[in-house]
Amino acid sequence: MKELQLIYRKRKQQLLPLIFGFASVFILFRIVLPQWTDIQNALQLITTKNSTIQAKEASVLLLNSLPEEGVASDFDLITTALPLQKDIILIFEELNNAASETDVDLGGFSVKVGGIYSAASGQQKKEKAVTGVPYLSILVSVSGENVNVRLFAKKLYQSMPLVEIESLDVGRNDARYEVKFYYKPVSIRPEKADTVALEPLTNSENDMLKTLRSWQSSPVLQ
Amino acid sequence: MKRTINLTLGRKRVDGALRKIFYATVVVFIISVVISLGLITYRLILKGTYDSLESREQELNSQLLAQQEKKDKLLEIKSRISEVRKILSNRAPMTVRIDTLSSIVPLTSQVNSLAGDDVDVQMTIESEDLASLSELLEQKIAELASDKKKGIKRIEMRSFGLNPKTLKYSISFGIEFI
Repeated sequence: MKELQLIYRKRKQQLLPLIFGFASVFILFRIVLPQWTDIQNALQLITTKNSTIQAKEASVLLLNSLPEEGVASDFDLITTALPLQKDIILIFEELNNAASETDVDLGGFSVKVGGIYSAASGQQKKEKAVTGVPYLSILVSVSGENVNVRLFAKKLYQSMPLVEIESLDVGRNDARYEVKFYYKPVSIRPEKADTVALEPLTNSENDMLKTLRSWQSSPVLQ
Repeated sequence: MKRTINLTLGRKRVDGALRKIFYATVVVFIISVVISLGLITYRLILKGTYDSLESREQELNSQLLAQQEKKDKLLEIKSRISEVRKILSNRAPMTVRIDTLSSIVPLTSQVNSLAGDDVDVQMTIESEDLASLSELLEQKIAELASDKKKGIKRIEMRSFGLNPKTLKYSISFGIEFI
């Protein structure tokens, strides 16, 4: 020990700068640099968290401002226009309404509900529309005056659920329409959707809802 | 041997240099300690900020959870409106096709059949009045075809004759749309 003390006293001037130098380097690499990296990560996390909170605050604010009944009514309307599933009852009601409003007799319709079994995926592909929205094909037969059976097609285009007439065969007193009834199951939203603020319905979206609402109970345009 | 030579001068220079190095290292050390203390303090402040943000988010999450149904409905409405738009803009304009073709049918004539899809349609008309059918062929069809908005690509007369059952003239067209 005495020897060490002797060496220290003798080499004090050289040893102390070395000790402080090494201590500084140690602090730089073991404390300053890791802390700096951690701070950068923390700042990034805080920025992300802040934007998430802002989005959620905006969403809460929007949800609080929307009346429950209004949203429920719009949801009912839009799910009538584009049902959540193949709703045969809704389709039957739609066809009956269109037939009674245009004064034609609904002769019958055959529904292609879907395959019972298919090893290949061809059947599923067949049911997809060009637009990517699934549909149900129905062959509808109506009879009545020629003007009215044509009016029936118009009524279908202004009613809900949304339809598309694929082909028609209109005779003098009857008609057969191949009609696509669109539907769409509930879409699964990604987890990240929470970080995006909810947006209110735009003017054009409200206009679309207004148009659909007018189709709910309007007489067919001649 | 010269008496004027100072043997202690080199030793003093070395001591001075070592002292400077010592002070420099002490200063660097103190700066390192101050910086590291500053960084640690700043990091602790950031941690506190993050924790408060975390608790705010939890609070908002519980508020959103209470309105989850409304939120889901709103998102579904928006998503479906875009699908509805897509359907309406892409669906076959069959009613427009029917109107277009019905507009050229003479009042004295009757549409016997109208069949096809949004691209190809076949229409058969019957009439007792040959003059109106002639007007249809010579004038109305030409007018219809020249109207670009109607989107007609081709019109061809597929048959013309007298229906022995009804004793009416029957004319059949094939109309191809763009």
